[in-house]
Amino acid sequence: MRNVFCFLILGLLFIILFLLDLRFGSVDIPLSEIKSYFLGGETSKDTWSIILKEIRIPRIVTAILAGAALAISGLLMQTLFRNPLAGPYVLGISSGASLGVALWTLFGFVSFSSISGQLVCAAIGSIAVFSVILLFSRYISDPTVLLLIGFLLGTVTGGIVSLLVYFSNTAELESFLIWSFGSFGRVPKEQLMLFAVGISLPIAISLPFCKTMNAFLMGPQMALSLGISIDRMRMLLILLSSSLAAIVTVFCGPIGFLGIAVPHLCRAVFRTQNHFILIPACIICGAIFCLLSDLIAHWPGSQIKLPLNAVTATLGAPIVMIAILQGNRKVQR
Amino acid sequence: MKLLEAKKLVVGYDQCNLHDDSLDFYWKTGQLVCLLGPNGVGKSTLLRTLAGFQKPISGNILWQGTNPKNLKPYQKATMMAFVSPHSLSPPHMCAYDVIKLGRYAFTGWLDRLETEDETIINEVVEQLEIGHLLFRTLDSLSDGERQRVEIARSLCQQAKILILDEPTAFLDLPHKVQLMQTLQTICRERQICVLMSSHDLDLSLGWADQILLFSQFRQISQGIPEHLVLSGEILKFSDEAYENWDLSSGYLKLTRKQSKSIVIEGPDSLQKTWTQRGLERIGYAVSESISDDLPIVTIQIDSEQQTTKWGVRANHGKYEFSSIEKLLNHLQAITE
Repeated sequence: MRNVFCFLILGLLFIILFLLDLRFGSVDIPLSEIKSYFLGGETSKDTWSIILKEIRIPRIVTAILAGAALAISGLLMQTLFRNPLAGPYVLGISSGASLGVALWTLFGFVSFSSISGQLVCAAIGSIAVFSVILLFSRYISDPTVLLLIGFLLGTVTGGIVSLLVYFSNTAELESFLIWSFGSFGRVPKEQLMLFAVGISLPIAISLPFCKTMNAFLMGPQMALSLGISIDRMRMLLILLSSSLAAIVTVFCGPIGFLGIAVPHLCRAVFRTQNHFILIPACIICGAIFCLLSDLIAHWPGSQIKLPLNAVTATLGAPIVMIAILQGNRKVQR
Repeated sequence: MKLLEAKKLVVGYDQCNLHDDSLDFYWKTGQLVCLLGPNGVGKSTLLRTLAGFQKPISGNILWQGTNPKNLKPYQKATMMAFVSPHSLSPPHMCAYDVIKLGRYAFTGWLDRLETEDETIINEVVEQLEIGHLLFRTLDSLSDGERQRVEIARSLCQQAKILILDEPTAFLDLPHKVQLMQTLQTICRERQICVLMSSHDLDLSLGWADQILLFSQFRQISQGIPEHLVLSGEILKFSDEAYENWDLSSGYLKLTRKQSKSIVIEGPDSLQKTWTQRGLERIGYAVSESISDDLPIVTIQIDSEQQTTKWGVRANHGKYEFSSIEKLLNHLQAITE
C-alpha cells in the first residue's frame, strides 16, 4: 500500500516537472499552448512549435532517458559490488569517454567541431575502457579487485586527459570543458531513437534478473547455495550497467552524482532492497531528478544556461542526504 | 542410501593439499556429522569442496550418486543447501526475505510463491519456532536468531544434504545446545544428512552420529564419537589444549595447581558437588580418604527450611558458615 502511494506521488511529480520543463526556458510557453500542441500539433506562434519540437521535447526525452539509465546503472553496480559508493562510472567508463573527446577536441579537430565527431570519439573511448574491464572481469573473481582496476584505469585516462588539457589552447579547452559539463541538449533529433533503444534494451534485459539480484545481496556463498552462477551473473551486471553508462556519457557527457545517489534515495523512500521495486523506482526517480536539474539549468526567465553537472551535484546532494538520513532514522525506530 | 560420498578426495588450494591421505567416506540419510579440528586444518575447505563451490585437487564427490560437476546450478540447490558463517545483513531486509530465498530455485523469474512454496516455508518456520522473527530486519536479530533464520532458509531448499560451516560459532552455550538438538531433529525427521564443522568437542561428542576428526598433523580419523574416544584417537584432536581432556566424562578437565588437601563430609548432593568445585577452584585437592591431620569441610542440609550450613574442622578450631562464599573466603584467608 505504502509503495503504491509512493509511486503515485512520484508519478505526479514526474508529470508536473515534465510540464514545467516544457513550459519554462529562455522563452515561456503557456501551458494551454503546450496542450494544444500535443492535441493538434498547432500553437498560436510558429516559433513556439519549433522550440517545442526541435529543442524542448528532444531535450526532455533525453533527460528522462539519461536519468533512468544512470540510476539503473548505479543500482546494478551497487548490487554487483555490494558497495554503497559504487556508481555508473566506478569502472572508468566516463574517463574513457573523456579521453576520446579530449583527443578529438584538443588535437585540433575543433574547427571540425561537429557533434557527431564528439559522439564517435566518446563512444570509442568508453568502449575501449569497457572492453578492458570485461577482459579483466573474466580473470578476476574478486569484485573488490575489479573495482580497484576500474578506479586505476580511470586514473590513468584522467591523467592523460590532464596532459592533453595542459597542452591545448583556449578555444580547444573551452570546447572540451563545455562537453565535460554535460548537457541533455546535445542528442540530435535523428539519433534520439537510437539513444532510446540503446537505453531501453539493457534496462529491459535487467528486469528478469531482479530475483537473482535480490539473492546477490546476501553474499556470494549464499548465492552459490541458492544455485546462482555467480560468474555469469557478474558478467551480465557489468555488461548491462557499463553499456548504460557508456551510452549516456557518449550522448550527454559525463553526468555525475545522480547514478550513485538515486538508488540510495529509492532505498530510503521505499525502505526496501527488493529490485522488483527498486528498478521501477530508480527509473522514475532518475527521470524526475534529471527533469528538475534541467529545469534549474535553464533557469526560467533568464538566458543563462548553467552547467548541468554543477546543477545535479549542488541540487542533488543535499536532497539525497536528507532523504537517506530520514530513511535510516525511520528504520532504526 | 549413500547421500554424500567422497572418493579418493584430496582438498586444498593450488596443488597444495591439506591432508596426507586422500579421503574416502560416505554418509547416509538421517546422519548428523561433525567435523572437528583446530583452526586452519581445512574444515571449511573440505566443506566448500563437498558443497561443490571449490574444485577438489583430485578425486570425486557424489551427491546421491551424481557428481555435482554435471548438475546445473539450480539442480544443485535442490540437492544441497549451504549455510555460511559469513552471511551479510543488507539494510531494509527482513528475516522473511531471507527465508523466502530458500525457494529461489523453485520459483519463476517473477519470484511468485505458489501455495506449495508457502506451505513449505510455513512448516519450516513452525519447526524452528521463528514465527515471531519473520518481519524483523536482519540487523536487529541476535546471532542466534540470525543463525536460525539462515537454517530456515536452507531447509526451505528441501535439499537432502545440509552443510553448515561453524553454525555454533557465535552462539552462547544454551543456544548451542538448542541448535544441536534442532539439527538432530531435522536430520531424523527429514531423513537428510547434516554435515557441520565445529570447535565444540563436548557438544559434538554428545550429538553427532559420525565425527570426522582433523588432527594438527594433517591426518583425519573418522568414526562414531564413542569409538573415537575408546580408541584414544580423540586425543589427536590437538596436542596441547586437550591433554587435560577427561576421557571418562567427555569434558575438559579443569586441572589446577592444588597444593593442599581437604576432606568433605556430608550427604551426596548438589551442594557437595559444587562445594568440591569451589574448593578445587581456590586450590584444594579434595581427598577421598579421611585422615586426622587434614581439615574437614562439613555440609549440613536442612531440607525443611531449605538452608545449608557449611563448617570447617581443623587443628586450629571449628567454624560455621551460612554460605559457601563465606566458607571459601575463610579458607582463602587462613592459607594466606
